[in-house]
Amino acid sequence: MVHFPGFEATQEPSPDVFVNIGFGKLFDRLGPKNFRQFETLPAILAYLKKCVITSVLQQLRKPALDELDEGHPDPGGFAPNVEYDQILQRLRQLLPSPDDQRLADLRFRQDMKPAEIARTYPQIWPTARDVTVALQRILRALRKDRELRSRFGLPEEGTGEV
Amino acid sequence: MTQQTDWCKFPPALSEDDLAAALAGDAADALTAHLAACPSCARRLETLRRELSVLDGGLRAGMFRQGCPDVDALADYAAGGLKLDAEIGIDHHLSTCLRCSTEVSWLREALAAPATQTQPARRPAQATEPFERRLVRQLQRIAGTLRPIQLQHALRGETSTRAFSADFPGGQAFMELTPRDAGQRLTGQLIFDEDDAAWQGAFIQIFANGALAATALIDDMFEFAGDLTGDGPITLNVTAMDGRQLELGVGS
Repeated sequence: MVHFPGFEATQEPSPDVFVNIGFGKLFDRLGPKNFRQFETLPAILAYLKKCVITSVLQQLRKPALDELDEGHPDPGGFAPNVEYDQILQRLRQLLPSPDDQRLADLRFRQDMKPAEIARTYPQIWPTARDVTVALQRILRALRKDRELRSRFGLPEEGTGEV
Repeated sequence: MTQQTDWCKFPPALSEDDLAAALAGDAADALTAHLAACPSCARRLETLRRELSVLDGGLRAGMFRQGCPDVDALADYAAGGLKLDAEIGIDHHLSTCLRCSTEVSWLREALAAPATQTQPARRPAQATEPFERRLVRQLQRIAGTLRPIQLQHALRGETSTRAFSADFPGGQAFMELTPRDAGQRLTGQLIFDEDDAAWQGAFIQIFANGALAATALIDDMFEFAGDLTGDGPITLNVTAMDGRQLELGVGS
């Protein structure tokens, strides 16, 4: 029996689905060449355990993406695969403060909630409300940028249509 | 002033700072009253709310976990199986990424080997013995026949306990069967010619007359014991930690 703390976060009633996925990964990856690198049966079983555990982690990374797609209105013209490097560069230009850049990373890239951010960085944002206020200030600054507005499908500022 | 603010029913129109305060729940009574009475400023507030929401969602969708190592790389990192340059790269990433740091701590806990079990290290692929031969050797069944031996107390006329011994490739087995009120008590020990830790913790199935009568584990002194519920010819199937099997049969 292996205890994996991340399993509870999946809210799956049983680990069977991840075990099946793990076996599938093992089957896909363990071709004749790779099979010979395993010296013993316990080594193969250890690799199987790794396949099962990583399948749980993969699942934990997925739902957040689904929530991101469902929870926000379609901006119209928004390209789902926005280029990360271009956005990151623009954010660094628009947010010169290191704390603002850190908050942008915590919120947008790591998808952390205000309460989580406040718990982790109480010396910068003592409460979740401080995080929310700082986030709103950041978003208001970003909202004024024509490039970002265009990238995320927002009309030119002042037209009043969303 | 934009055209929108010109439509304010009760000028001057609310500023963007006013609207932001209203969004944050910090609106003064007068501000709240203005928004309730002025459709234009209320529409501007709603526009601001929706645009900030679109930006927030778009940025989160566009940036989500970008730059994070994939789960397999993190698992290899947690197990200490990465080359130095890759490990340094992930070290640097973990210094700022709380999500990955959490995942690594989960992986380390889950991938850690149990304290009672040793795992053989992965050696380079240039092994001297072909893998298939090693596998067959590990899966090979070792057989031995337990023959009765006479115990000291049996020589004195006490005949209730029966003793047996067997030679098998790589070792010997000794076993005693003692009748109890219900069934029999089996105790035994395996002695190996060479120190073979794979048999410590081995699982023993004890069959009496073909039916499973008891199970036991070999301890670190290579001893075992079990209470049998059945009767008849006894067979022991011993499975070592590395998969080897030893089968010992005892005549009735």
